[in-house]
Amino acid sequence: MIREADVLVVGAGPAGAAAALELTRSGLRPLIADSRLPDPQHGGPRLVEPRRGGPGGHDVLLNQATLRTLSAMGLAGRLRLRPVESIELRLGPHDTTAQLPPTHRFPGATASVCDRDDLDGALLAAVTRSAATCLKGTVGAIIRDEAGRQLATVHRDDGPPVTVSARHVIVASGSPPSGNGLVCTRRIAGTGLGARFVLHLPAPRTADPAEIPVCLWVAPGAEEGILTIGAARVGPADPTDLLDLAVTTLRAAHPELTMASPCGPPVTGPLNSSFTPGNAVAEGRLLTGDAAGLVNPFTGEGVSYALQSGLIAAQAVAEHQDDPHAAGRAYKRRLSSAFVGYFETARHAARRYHLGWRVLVSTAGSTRPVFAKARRAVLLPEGLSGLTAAELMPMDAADVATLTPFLLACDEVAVSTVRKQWPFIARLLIAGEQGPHRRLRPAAPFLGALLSAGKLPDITRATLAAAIELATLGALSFLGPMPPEPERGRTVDWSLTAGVLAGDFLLAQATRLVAASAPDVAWSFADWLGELAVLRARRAHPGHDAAAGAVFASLLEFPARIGGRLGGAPPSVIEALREYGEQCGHAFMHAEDALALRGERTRMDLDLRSMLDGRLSAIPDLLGEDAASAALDGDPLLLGEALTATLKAGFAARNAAETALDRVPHPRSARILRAFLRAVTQPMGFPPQSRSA
Amino acid sequence: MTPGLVLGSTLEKVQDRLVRLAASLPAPLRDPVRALVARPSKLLRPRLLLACARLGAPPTDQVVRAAAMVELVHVASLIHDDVVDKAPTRRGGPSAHVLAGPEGAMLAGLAVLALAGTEAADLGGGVSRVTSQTVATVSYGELLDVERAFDTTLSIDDYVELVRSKTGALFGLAARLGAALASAQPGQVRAVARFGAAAGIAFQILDDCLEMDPDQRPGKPLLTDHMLGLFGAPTLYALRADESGDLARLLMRPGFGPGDMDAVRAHVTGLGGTSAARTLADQWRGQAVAALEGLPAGPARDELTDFAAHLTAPTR
Repeated sequence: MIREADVLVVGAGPAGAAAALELTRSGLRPLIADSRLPDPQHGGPRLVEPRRGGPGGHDVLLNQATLRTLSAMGLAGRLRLRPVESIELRLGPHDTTAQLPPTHRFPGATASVCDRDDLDGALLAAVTRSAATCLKGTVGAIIRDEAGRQLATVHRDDGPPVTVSARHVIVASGSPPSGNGLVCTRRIAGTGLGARFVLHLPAPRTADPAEIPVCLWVAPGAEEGILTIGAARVGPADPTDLLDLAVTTLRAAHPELTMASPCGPPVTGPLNSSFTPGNAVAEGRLLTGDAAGLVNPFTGEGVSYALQSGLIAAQAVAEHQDDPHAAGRAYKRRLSSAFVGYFETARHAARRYHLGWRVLVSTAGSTRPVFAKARRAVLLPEGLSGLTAAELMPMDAADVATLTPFLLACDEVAVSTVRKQWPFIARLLIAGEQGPHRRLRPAAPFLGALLSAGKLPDITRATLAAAIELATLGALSFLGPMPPEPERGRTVDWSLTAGVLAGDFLLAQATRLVAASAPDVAWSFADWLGELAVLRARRAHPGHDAAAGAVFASLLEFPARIGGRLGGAPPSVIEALREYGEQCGHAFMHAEDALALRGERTRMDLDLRSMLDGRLSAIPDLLGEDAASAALDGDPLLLGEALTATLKAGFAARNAAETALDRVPHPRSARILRAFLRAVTQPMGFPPQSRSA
Repeated sequence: MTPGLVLGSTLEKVQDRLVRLAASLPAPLRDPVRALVARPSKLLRPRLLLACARLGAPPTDQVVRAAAMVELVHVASLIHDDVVDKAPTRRGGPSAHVLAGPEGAMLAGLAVLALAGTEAADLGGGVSRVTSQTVATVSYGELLDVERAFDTTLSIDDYVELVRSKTGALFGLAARLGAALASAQPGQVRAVARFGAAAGIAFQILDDCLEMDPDQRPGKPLLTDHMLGLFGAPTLYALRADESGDLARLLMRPGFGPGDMDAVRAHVTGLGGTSAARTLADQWRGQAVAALEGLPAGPARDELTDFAAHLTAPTR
């Protein structure tokens, strides 16, 4: 018996269900096969009852993007979700007797946990209710015939196998048994960490690059008092050892767990984190989720990638219904832009992954802005977007429409420049950001200035914008505070090393982009990099004095000045733009100080102490070194005084920038620049006189 | 004037220019750079550029400027390498991070690179473009160099890719710029660029071999690279030949130190590592010389042949 179908979806887990539902939304009627589906020929369609708290179950973390997708699939209301209070990262020593690694706590996370069985049940139910045709059975071999049709054998519990002939096949059958690693989880009961999700990334035990990283986590259960511990490792591992390691390490860090006892069997499965866009289409079949190796090797997380890749596969198929080859090409193309960072095809993938691991754990205590951001981007379920307090630029739709294509082109250049060689940096550049056109980023004032003579933006200038952004990131990796000197011995100082390597790499790539796309700017660009080095050295070096904001003034002055020059603005406007950029930089510094003084997260992810230690604060300039450290020690009077002085200086810089903008005649240019300035100074609030008491 | 004297006096001009450029850096970044460029060095890259420039008769000041620019890129990478390796000395004196602290050295390296950037832009004619591509390749080489630390299984192919990026690229740039300034034909420019890249690889392999020879390496603490898990060609060859695994165990010992260097040398030499590496270097040297076939007979070709023959000969 042969059944014909346009699309066969293999598996009704997160990736398969997302694909099948998306296909039905496009008017297609896919055939979806899974052994857990009800059998319409034996008793007709019926709703699958979601199972909860099953003995072999475990709890999974769903980030905000995942929850949004599930909600769009009509599922969110059907799941029992428990909001996660905080996400904690512990990166560091393996040895449980050693000092505990520093914890990074990210409160106010927007993630939730949910029972994996509950999630699977809801997905199956949604598929069953949908217009997709369900086939209960397990898909065995699939072959492609000479006409390009895919012939799949579906084995059924009761009855002869069915052959399905389909034009398109979306494979969502989970990790192949030959995955490149192992993931183990186990439920434990009797205690709780509240609703905290904790992720541990222990440091390497040896210098041997063959040593394999492992990640461990505790997820709160959907029910109070129950939680799931988990461990994942890329490479060979013994499941019992892996779970033992998880228990020992997690207990050492969280004594509360000592009282807990297992309340379910260990659940073990293959981990497949071997994704490359090139391998995501095999024999014309689109691989999604775990089947495509879409699992974050640092965290074992895969649900969000599964849903996203399922949606992308369905969209590629829907747009190329008659042409599987075109669907495959579209799928690969979109995957490579959607999944930047963890996964790149490279001869050096294993070593690069290893380097990433060493850098992450050895920079755990580092407050260098680039590392704080990298930690967030690589390890947190939301990437950068869920937790950043980044102010969005307030803009009307027409300006957004001007900015968006330019900034997207800028991102594309920046990401494609670094992704092959430094995938982790590529992650920093996009990291699931929302509203990329409204983020606080130097490309925005560059574009604003480019418009200052009233000419339409030249999209090819997006390459220069990308160079400016890469250079800014590179400069940030050379900015203090310096990491503490590690113990002398036979180790690489990964923290310092990574800062140098990333900085050199980013600045070199930026310079290359400038030389290729805007050779007439090459000299100014190099001169700017030299100026940044000197300004920072004069700030950091005793006996020399540069204002704290000088580096930031230079960082923003350059894009504004060069944008004006390339946009054809007259000298008086270029001078106004230069002044605007400088004052924006000073305002940025004061806004950072204001956030730090109030104990809030700064845009550079620094706290007051590391800002003062790293000489990245203007407070000593305003109050003197002694008063600044007294404020740091919590002297409330001085804290208040510091905040007042900071706001005063910040408003002065803002006003100066505003005044400079009065000399930029083109309205759209001035509007975009003003919106950027507002976003920069937003943490300062309003000037005192307009604020209610 | 004999060719040797011409080269000598032009090299002196390059050295003078380097000293002047270093002096032009603002305080506090100036001092560590000035100290470094004042010390004697072989100026291999400027030498290579000068030799290639003899394919024509370009204005001396342009040649000097380009040669100093290439050397600045090299100096910047040395400063940053020493920060990463925590190397205490360079060219027989304290390294930049010892003089200026790690942050000062990081920023000094950045400032030197920026100076090379403005120099390249001033030279015009696409110099910025090829230079920036080379700098990007060199920085990728730095990454490859760090991420292979303690890898006793690094393949020779991966090793060659590393030294091609780290060393070959800048040699290639020097050669290319010299020939381009001499207005050499495109085929000749490509030929000397191939020569430079191959000679750079050969040079780096021979430099690794010197580490195995205690008598030939004044000024550099012995086996520093091995301490940091950066194994050169001789050691990598020896590791592949070592069926017992003894050498790998020795190299990976946490307590590994200078006292182990004689044992490493004995292992590496006994396993044929040094001779295998010398053979590899000779192959690359051969490729370099073969690239010169299309060049006309003359001073450039003679000097380049001589350059390839004396890659690691002490010059001062």
